[in-house]
Amino acid sequence: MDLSLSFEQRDIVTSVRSLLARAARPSSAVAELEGDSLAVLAEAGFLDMTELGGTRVDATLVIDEAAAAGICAPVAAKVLVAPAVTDAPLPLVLGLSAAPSGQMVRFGGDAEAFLVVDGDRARVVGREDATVVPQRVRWGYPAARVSVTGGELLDPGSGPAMLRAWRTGLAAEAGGLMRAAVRKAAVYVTEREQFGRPLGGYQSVQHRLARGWVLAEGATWLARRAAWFSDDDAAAAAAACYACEGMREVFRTVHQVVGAMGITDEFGLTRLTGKLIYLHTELGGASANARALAQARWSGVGAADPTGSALVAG
Amino acid sequence: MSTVAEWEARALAWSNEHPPPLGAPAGSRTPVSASQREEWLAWTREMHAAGLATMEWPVEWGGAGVGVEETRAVARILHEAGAPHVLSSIGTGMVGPAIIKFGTPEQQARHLPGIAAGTTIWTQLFSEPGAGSDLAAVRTKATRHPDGGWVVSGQKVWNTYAHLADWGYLIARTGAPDSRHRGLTMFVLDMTTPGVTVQGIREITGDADFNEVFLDDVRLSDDAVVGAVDGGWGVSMSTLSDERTVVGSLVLWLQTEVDRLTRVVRGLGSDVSDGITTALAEVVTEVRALADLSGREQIAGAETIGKIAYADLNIRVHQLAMDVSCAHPGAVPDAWAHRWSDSYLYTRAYTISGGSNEILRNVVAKRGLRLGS
Repeated sequence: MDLSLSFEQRDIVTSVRSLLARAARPSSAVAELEGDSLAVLAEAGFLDMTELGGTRVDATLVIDEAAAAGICAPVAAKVLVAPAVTDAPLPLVLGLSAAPSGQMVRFGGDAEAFLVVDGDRARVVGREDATVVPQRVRWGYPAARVSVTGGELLDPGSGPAMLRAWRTGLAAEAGGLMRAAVRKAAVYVTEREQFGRPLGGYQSVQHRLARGWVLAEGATWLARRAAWFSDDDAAAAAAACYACEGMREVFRTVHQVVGAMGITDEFGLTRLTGKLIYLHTELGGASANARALAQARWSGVGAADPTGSALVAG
Repeated sequence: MSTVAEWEARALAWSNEHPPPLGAPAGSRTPVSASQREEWLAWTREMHAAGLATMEWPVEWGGAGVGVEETRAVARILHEAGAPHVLSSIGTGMVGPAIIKFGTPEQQARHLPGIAAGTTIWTQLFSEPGAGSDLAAVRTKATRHPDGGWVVSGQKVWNTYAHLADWGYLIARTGAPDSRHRGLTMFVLDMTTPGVTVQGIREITGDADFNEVFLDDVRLSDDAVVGAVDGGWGVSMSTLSDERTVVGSLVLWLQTEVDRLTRVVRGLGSDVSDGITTALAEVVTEVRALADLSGREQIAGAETIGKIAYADLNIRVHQLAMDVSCAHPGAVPDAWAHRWSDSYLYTRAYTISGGSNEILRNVVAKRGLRLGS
């Protein structure tokens, strides 16, 4: 089984990285939509990949690299989730909502349209049919509480399809964020000295960062697998569950090893970890995704089978 | 002598008559405007006047001479009443006890009344960019001035409330550059002294209660020395020990949040997952155990163990609070959700400040378990 990136995929990674390195970035630490970066990706065709012959795995590469660059924009919603449920052209800035009412939606205050899970079907809802209340959050994404009425109901099965793609995108985004955060922490502990040696020379620091790297890589690879098996509910739920657990731990690890410097706005680590804080709770977080995995993998286990007898019976 | 219950009643009556400063959300760490600052400082002075800020101090210095149980009971009442952080806490909890132990009669007479009344605000000037966990690496230099007194130059960082402080509690190197802990001296510093510059640092919660403090040829008189010249290490260790003992009050605050979390989970009935109820049972048990451990002087290293345990448990409690808030957003009152989310971000500070958990684990390993060289 060849898990290495193809030449074209490596090209995607390099191109996205280089494009985003040149895009204008805000200097404020307050999370706000980075429309310029999203526009740069769109103009270069990276947000329409699957329509232009790219695969969903390719889409996860774009999501991953954008996240690793610390970009604050709904990349996954546009490049992976929207194409999974509709061929219709949609605005650039999309909000994803797990239910029609009262949901906390990333980029909800900026979204031009919403994709909403409504049972077995998803909806496309224009801004004019949504009630949007921006929230004052100190986490790494702007968010709003959103309720929708009306909108266009998509095909049967589009609800689960949207959830699969959303979970996959979440895991890809998490992988990129975690990898960037661990890398930034590793650079810092290589330079920072106490008691006459770099912090990175202490095993307790090395082991924690190594584990963080494992979690980041795990999320990335599970996301790619879920993108490949895009009809597999269990693969998507597993990716999201692992990513959510990983994000919790990486948030703690990188801030612990970097120390007080890491929690300051000026250092820049919080641009990444603020996003981990928000993202690890999306779609109900690790426990909800774990239950989804259990139900998908061993249908009958979960709310309808709290004793897990179906699991035991295999 | 008043009992714990009597102090609780007194604190409850006071907090009912003195609501927290307007616009300062429960648990706020620093005022965000000049008017809020004045209101907050006035509220702080009123708390002092009611005898609720220096209860454990000796009676001769404005305290009530009570033990840790009464102090923590009052802290819990104020926390439940939605009080913001007490701006005078560095003075009452660290500097005051140090001056009582190590200060000259003149220093005690000069500084303790103001700390006891809440009319002087203090900041701690210990850490430096190159001296965090390794406090013995302090480089801020204090040299003798030919006309007497000292000249101090250097940079301090992570100085809570330096932007509000009247006085600073400063550790500086008076010995040779390589003298490590043997060449350190503790000083008190008037923050309006020429050469003192304070610069704010905004952190992950959006607050700016931390600062950097730059000292450029700051002149100090001989009577600014606390304890002995080159004896600052012992004074600082006593202060850090007091800082770690503050954990006891923090555990009671944690208990309040766990009680709130329990109320939310109970209200969810069968809608809540087994994972959440199991995690809740675990933290309820551990917070109770930690509350019992805190302040037990007969347990060797109790304050070090307590600080490590609190910092880790604080993270777990607030992680669980986040999980519950996100899984059941409508079930959590907005004020609690806001506080939990702010506290979740700030949990990072407690595993680092007052000695990082890694350093304290080394202390436990070496002194408690006799491991390593």
